[in-house]
Amino acid sequence: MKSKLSKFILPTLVIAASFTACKKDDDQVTVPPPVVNSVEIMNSLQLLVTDSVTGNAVDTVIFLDPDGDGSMAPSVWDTLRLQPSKTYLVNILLLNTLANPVDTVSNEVLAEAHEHQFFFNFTGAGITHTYLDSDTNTPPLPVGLQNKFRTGAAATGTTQVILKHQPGIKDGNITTGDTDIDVTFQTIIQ
Amino acid sequence: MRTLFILLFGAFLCLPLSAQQYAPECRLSLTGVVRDSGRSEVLPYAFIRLRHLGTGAVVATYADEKGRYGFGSLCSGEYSAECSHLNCEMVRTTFTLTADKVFNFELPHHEHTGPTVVISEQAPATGITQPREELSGRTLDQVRGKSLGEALTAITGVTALQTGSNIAKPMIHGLHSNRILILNNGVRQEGQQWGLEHAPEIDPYTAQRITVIKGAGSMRYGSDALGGVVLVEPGALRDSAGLGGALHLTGFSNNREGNASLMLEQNLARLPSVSWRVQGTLRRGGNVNTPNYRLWNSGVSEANFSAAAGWHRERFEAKVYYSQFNTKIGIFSGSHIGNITDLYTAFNSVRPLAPDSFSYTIGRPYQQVEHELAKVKLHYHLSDVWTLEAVYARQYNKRLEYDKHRPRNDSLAALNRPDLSYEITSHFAEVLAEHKAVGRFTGAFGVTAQHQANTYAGRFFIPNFRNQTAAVWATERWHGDSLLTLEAGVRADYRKLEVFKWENNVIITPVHTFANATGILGATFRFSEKAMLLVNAGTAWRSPAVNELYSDGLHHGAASVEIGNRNLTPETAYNATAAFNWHEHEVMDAEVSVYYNYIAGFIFAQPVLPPTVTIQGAFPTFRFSQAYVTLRGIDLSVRRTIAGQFSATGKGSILRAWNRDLNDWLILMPADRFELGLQYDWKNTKHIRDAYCGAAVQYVNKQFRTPQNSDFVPPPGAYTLVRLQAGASFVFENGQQVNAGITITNLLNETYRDYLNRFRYYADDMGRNIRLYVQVPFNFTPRNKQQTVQSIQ
Repeated sequence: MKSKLSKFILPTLVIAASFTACKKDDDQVTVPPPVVNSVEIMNSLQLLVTDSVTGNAVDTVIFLDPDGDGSMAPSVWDTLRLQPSKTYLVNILLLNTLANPVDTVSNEVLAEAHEHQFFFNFTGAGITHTYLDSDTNTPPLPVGLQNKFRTGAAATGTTQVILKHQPGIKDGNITTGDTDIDVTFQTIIQ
Repeated sequence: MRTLFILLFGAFLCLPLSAQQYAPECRLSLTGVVRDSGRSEVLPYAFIRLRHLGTGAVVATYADEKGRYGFGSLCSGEYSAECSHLNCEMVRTTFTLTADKVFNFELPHHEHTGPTVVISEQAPATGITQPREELSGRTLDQVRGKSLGEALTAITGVTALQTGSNIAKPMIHGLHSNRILILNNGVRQEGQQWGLEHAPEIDPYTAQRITVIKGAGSMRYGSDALGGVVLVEPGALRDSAGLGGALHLTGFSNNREGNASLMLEQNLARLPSVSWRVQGTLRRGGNVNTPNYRLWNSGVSEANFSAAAGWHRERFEAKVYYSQFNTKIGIFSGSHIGNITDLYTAFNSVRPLAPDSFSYTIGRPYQQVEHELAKVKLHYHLSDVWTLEAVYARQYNKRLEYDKHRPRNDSLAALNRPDLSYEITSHFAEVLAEHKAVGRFTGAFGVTAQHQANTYAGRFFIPNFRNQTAAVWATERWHGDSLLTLEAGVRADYRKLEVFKWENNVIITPVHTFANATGILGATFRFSEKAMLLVNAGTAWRSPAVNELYSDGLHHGAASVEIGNRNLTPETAYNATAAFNWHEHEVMDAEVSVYYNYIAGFIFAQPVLPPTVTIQGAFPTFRFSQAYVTLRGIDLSVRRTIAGQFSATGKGSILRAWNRDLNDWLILMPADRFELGLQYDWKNTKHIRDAYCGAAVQYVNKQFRTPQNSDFVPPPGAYTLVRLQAGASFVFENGQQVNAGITITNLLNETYRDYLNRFRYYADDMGRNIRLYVQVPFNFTPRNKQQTVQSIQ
């Protein structure tokens, strides 16, 4: 009985081994998938600046890194230029220009506003920031896709824009969660 | 050097000796010859150990060069005897001694089985003149249940490069990844070994012995082993009729991990030329506990199996082997960060921001890896002297890495695709011829070829490539009188690497070809049965790996940008080692080895300015470049019986790795480490054998020798860990044996971080861990069919 069983087991094992081994072969080596990876990447941050009184577009301030998280330097990195003692509306647009068609990542951030928040740090230039939007948390927490900047006297400095991803842990605190965006713009108020 | 030896051994000679004393009425003798059961050749230098079952007294000796052995002054009574030889399976027998006896041992020869050939005197596949250390028997039992990389740290000079506690890569004398070779059942392991967070895809439960050969000089398996070779060897297939196997159960308290591994094997009574074995392992562990908090999402789950079968005729032997390894490893979520600010935030916080609770659930980020090995091996004895062997092996490796967050885009998120995915398929073929003594020479030569294809999906990090290698090699050994053995080997390699990569919207297909020759020269001097000196000089050669040539991008695991360098040339190592062994059974085992490894064109990631700016901030940037480096070091391990049943162990390893071009240290090199242990071995009784308990203290110094501007934070401080371990074999009336052991690591629950663990930025290392181990061997051999050894009456 035992040896009959063994005679059965042995060939089965050999056959099973030889079949499972042939899973996949190397035909696809010569055609690598395009480098573009639409999964998570965004490579452009734009500040859409409008005059709060007139409602006219003042400027679009762009940061663009042509290869996402590759080693190339940003190809566009504008300076934020504002006039003293004025109030501006600043909306944020996030793009993945490596995707075709271009992916508007800020829409996805908006859809998940309850786990994202922008933070702004100003040095040198006197700018007061106010959030104009909020999320669905209770109590609601700011998001920062829509903002108001109030400028002070003429000065030069920097504006740092940080986007934090805080899934399930959003608390309005800049040290919580992972950093998705960290871009600093030269800022001139004159 | 010589002064060092003298000082060292002088120190140990001062310790009291414990000689075995025998009662005056014990005057019986046992003599005989040890032979190879297959060919009835004598086996020189076999090791024979006798145990008096009444008193538990143990005596042991080595056979001489003609296979003769002898014991005098034996007491009458019942004895168990063990006879072992490098090339052979150990045989055990029992007998009653009432008068002087002659008994000849016949050892079943392993030589036909793949892995053991590697270390046998007849097969010079890897040098015998290099220092080597192995885990087998008790030393292997003590690390059962751990991953391969972690288990190997029990060997002096071997450390682990870790990403948390579930991902451990072995490092020999400071070299790792593509610079060491891991042979799984005789086949070189081919996965994505370039990655620091890619652990070897091998189930250590398949192994009966794990050997580390330190230093360059592997002629047969590849010239790229600059650091050394790891051999993971299953036992030989069963050659006596019957069904047997073993069950291993291991549990760990820290992460509530449980492992079970079952092996079944059979040699068919009606078809004695056929043997088979199946084996499977399941492993599941939850979140790891540090002394102050748990690491969220640090669980692991693993399911592996393997099957082997062998068939032999008088001159011919065929073997097939298949194994599959499947793992899913959670990556502690606090270690996945967006940019350097996050890294510093994590480093400076007292405890991670991630939840601090236990769970077996593995969520994002995680790795999922599958590895398959299929192998066919044919072996043919042309004559008493010449043997031919042919091997074909296919490996398939699939590695999926999932980032911490799903894509924001809901339709993409629903697909739950891996963010990084690699598949690599390798075909390997080898033909070799081996000869036993022709005059005073033994040797082997062969040709090997390998074809490899790599594809990726998801985020780009390394390109698609096709890699073809071919090599010829030969080694010869000259056996002088018992004092001296010389060996020499040469190998020539050719490699063609075809790369397929998108660049500026065009697929570019650069081709790199590399060719080189390497060699080894070595000698062993056996001064006496106890003392042996090994000296060895070898070269090794490694052509740049595809990541070193073409990687380009943010390494999310390391918060840095790595840029490949297409102009890299191969690196060449010139390695010299000298090792002195002292083996005096039941008294002292000691080995000290010194090495000097000079590497021309050593490829390393050099920090460059400016940092790379991405939308996530600026990242430190490294570009692969080359330099002349030296790695010098010393390994020491001593075990000595101090009094009665007490023995003391001491281990130490020191390494200095210097970049001669930059006049700076090399990054990620192990700090100096020392270990002292004390062990008590009980005398055997009828029902309890090999019982021991011991304690060890390990001190790992701070790594003061690090290069400038290459790391985010300074290396962590020195630490001291205390370990307790105990084990025994229990023998029941019916002969059934159960081996059990317990190990407590980090007994004092010390809070520490290790320089070689990437998690040092984010969290403390593992706290106290209690490991329980049970092994139950079983055997359903009918008593009258036991073939190997008959008892003497």
